[in-house]
Amino acid sequence: MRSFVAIDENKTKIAKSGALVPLTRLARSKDMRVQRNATGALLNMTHSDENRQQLVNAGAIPVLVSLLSSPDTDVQYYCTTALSNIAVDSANRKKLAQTEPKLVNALIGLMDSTSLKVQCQAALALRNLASDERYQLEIVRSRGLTPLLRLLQSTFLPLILSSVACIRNISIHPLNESPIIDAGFLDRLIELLAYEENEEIQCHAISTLRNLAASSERNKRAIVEAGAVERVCSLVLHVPLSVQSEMTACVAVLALSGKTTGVNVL
Amino acid sequence: MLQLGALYVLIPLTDSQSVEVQGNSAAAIGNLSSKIQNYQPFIDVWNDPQGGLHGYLSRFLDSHDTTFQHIAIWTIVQFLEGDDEDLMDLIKNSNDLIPAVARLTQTLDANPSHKELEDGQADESEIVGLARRVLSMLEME
Repeated sequence: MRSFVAIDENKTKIAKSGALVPLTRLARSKDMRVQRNATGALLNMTHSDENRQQLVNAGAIPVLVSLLSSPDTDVQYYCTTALSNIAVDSANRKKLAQTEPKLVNALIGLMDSTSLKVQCQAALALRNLASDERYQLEIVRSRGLTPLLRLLQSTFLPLILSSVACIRNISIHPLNESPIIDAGFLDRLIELLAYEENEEIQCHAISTLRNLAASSERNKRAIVEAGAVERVCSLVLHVPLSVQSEMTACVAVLALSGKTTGVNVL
Repeated sequence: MLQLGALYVLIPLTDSQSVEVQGNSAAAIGNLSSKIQNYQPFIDVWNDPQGGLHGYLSRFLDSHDTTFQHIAIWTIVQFLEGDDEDLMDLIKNSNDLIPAVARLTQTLDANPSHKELEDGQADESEIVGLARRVLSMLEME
């Protein structure tokens, strides 16, 4: 069933055939092998907007959320990734916020899973949820920063990428700026500015620093004192344009320190 | 930040191939120029690197992009408000800055029915106001 569902053309047929309700039921099976195949098949149905909607309508969300606490890392992976894909749509995030109060805690817990790929998907799912203000605040309130910083300090590129993308979204909320700085993120974010193997990581790191500098003098000072400006000055002439643009924007925000007026960045 | 040599990287980036990088670097220079005690770091980079502060201001004042014109003229106002004699002399004695500022004061006269502002576009009347202020501060009006 899982490989049948992996073919795009079949996915639409399955979604329209009414098979999603029984497939969701199979995901609750007590047989771990059946559960794995069913959740893997549900994950395969989350790659297009239309199929995601059918899946949500078939009642898959509560099943996927409850299976986040499965002891099996394959099931954890399928459910986390499926929910991450579902959380791409803003209407789905709204539904998740209304019906799944334990989701954020479960995903934060999975950042400590024994499987690296589950940790990675948990951070990505939280990143997608953190497109919304309410989740930006909830992740911090639910003590998500500590495991997130641990992932950020990893040497494994996919973990760094997913966690830095996540902290970037969380840092958008002004109320999260100080908690992130106080949790000790600055040194690692500044280190990642020099991560030449991956431009995306550099962009997320500098954008996070810029977000953290947005609202308070104290935070601007903390970022400068942590060495962000020296690091940017030593790198900015040699990084790709996308990173250069973010770095100069960040310097422009930091340069506003102690001033009441200034020029806005582009 | 000025002590950390920020101007030595920001000035070359005002001539980047990316418009965003150009604008952000200029915004950073502008923000650094406002309400400071010591203008020596700006004097040190007047001609270098890569045409220096003078080259950047001249290019932006002559730009067709009103946002760029606005950043440059606003930055010059900050310099003049700082009242540093040496920096004021450099501005006053440059061959091209004052004529470029004077041209900006004519913008509205030449284009009285300027169209509504697009997102992020600077207000031409504000640019004209700042340009007139520069000339009046330098007693050149």
